[in-house]
Amino acid sequence: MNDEPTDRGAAPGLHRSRRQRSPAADCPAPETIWAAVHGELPPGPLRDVIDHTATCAACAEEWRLAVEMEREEKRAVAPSPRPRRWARLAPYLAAAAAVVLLVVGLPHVKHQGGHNPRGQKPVVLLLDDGQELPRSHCLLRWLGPQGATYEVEVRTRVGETVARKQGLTATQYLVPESSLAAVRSGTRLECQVTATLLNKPSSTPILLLSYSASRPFALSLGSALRAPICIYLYITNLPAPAPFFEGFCTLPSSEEVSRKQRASGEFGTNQCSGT
Amino acid sequence: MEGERPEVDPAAPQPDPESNCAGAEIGQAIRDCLGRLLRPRRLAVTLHLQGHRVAEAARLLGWSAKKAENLVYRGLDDLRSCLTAKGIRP
Repeated sequence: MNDEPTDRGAAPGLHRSRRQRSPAADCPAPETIWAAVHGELPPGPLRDVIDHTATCAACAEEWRLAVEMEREEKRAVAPSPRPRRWARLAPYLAAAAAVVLLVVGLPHVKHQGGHNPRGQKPVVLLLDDGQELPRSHCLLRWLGPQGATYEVEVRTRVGETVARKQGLTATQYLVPESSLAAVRSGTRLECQVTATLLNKPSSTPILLLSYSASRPFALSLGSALRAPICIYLYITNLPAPAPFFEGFCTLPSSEEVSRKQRASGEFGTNQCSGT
Repeated sequence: MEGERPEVDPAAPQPDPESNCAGAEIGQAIRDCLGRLLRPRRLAVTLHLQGHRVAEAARLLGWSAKKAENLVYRGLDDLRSCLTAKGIRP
């Protein structure tokens, strides 16, 4: 009873089984399940995902796959067996390596005039969960480490790039309306922002935001090597229907937005669309 | 022959349709029963059934290992009772 075993390979009940296994509309995104397995979701969304997994065969399978992959990862990075002498020396070698890194790396940081990535804030997208962005003013904003350059990519869920911009120093990007012209209203898009510090893009912590229509968003921090910074957007046509006007305001929810910016009304004014 | 890649033998006995169908029903029954458990127990049992060890479940859910173990134990007990009530016995 260590697994959910019973409908595996239910060929005669194929139709029913496949229907059960195909993700439903309320299924969390695979990225969310991945983040949940890695313990990168806040408690509330994590429990929602587990709850869903309890009653959804497709998501349960995805969960098991993620667990298996995580264990494979751990096995892959696990050090190969070494003589005990080396094992005893490992902490000292690590300390020595850290000292060397400090001595060699510090002047380089100063020379670049940049900031040590360690201790820097991760990239935080200033977008709310369930956010709908108008086609004519699809403004993406984020907070990131000081001195970083950014690469932004907006793509469909099947990986087709809709818009891409590299070398941004500003922490915002207005997706050209022409790029979104072919995108149907209501399409779910992924937005990825990658910060590069000292020409080392993988050193920046990243934020994974995923969203599904019927569930609260899930927020987690992860590694750039493992998951992109993603938020799913719904592109809509303007003018917006009046009852949904508020849904088009990209008011930042992040507490990291400085009070000064809030007081000046920088946000929430030029990002609101509609009439 | 152990360790070699298993080959599909068309002549080998395959699971019969009845047992496959019964398996699917049991799977559905387990999901139904899981859905009826108290939430903490459901969370613990779900992670247990998904192959997590008690320590992993405790870490994920922010519980102590003792609490996770207790909830898995009680949850499995509830699950067993529910399945028995549905006429499914080990």
